[in-house]
Amino acid sequence: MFVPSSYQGNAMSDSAGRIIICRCEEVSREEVLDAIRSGCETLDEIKRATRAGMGRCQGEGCAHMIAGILSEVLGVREDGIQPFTARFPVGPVSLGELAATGDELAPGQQARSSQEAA
Amino acid sequence: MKPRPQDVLVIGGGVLGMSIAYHLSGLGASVTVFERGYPGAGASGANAAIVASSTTSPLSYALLEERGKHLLAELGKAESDDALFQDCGRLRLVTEKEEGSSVMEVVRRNREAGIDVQYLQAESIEALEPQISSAGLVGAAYCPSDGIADPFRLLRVLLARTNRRRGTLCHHTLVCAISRKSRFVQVTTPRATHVGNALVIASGVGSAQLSQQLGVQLPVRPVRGQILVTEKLPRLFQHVISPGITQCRSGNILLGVSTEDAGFANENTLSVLQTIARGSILKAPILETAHIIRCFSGLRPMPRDGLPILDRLPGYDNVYVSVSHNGLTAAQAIGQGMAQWIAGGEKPPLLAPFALATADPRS
Repeated sequence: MFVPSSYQGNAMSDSAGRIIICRCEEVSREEVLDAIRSGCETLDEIKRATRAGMGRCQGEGCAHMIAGILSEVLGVREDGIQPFTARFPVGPVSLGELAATGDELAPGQQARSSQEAA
Repeated sequence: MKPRPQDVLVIGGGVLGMSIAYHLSGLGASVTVFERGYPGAGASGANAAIVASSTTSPLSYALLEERGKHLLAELGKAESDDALFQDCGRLRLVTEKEEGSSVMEVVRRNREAGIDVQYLQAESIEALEPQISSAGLVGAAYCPSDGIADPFRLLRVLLARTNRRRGTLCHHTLVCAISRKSRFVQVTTPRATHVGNALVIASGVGSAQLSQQLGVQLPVRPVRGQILVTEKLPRLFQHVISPGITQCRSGNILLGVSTEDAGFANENTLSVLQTIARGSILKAPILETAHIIRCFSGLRPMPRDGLPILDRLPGYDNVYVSVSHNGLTAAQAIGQGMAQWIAGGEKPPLLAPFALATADPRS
């Protein structure tokens, strides 16, 4: 489901020459590599360790690139890598909207279980 | 290969397990930590990152947390890492009159014991936090030295420091069984059997199940906490606002956390998220237009009396347990104290009140 790791279409360099993988949280390729070296084996673990994927786009832009790096370093197939855990709300909603929402959203909107710190 | 007796085996790579391992390695022990996922995968990574001792009760617990807070600040300084612990201060809001008198009493007692905390009347709060609505506010406990820690940064620092000594982390390693073998303890993982002189159970919500393997019922249950995360916002709050509003360095605001009995069901529920949303808007109306980008939930271990369990398992002179609902603030004090005890000293006085006997009315 992920495009090949050679695809770096969303990556960009910052003024220090670092390749930025997650734009929202400004996480570099080197930081992702560090996280993998220190023992991260999944996208969710890299997310917690580096904050990559915790920004406004919630990993839309960086998930495939991180999967590519993981695949390269760990020698696993990209299509076997679990995507980031999907989180409620899928798109940003205001706190006021959430507070005012009735129960009609309840059945489909229960987020999956997981643990993480922001 | 014949198993080599390691000095100490630690189960759990959260802030408590890693802090104990770090301090043990500093005393010359060789330490092996077993973590089923990645450090912080459990409760250590699923909280509002608050470091606070100022309104903790009883006093013995407040003093343990105060010591932990100072050691954490020192660690941050030694690492030149401002984000490890930021002493941005904390306001603990009081909205009920009766609650006000009990908070005032805790503040008085903690202040007398040297903790920098004072009780503010409602009208002084606006000057400190203009976004907090004064409606319904009775007062607040104010502590300038409480703050926010980054548990993942802390874990990285502890791991790096432990690795430089004689410490090893076995991540993604599930402990299948623990047992006693003559005077040694034995930990079995899918890959190997490890033998040690001492064992530390610091596995959060999993601690009860592990202790049971040694015939001890630990009075600990899982408690679920849910948190909402806003988009990055300009600085709206200078301090941690308790309960439930923490603006991180990044600008994101953490709202919550709930405290629910839901067994091991670790999931977000709309009704609880709405309760958090409504409560947050009441406290700080400006948040009504803030966007939520994510929510998460976590399971935290809750000892029966709410206090940490820092003890030896009854019947064992070399099996220790370290479980706390809120371990981040006290972690360095617990780590240091447990390490001294395990390495052959007496149980330090600071840790003495947190015994399994007081947590378990059966004994």
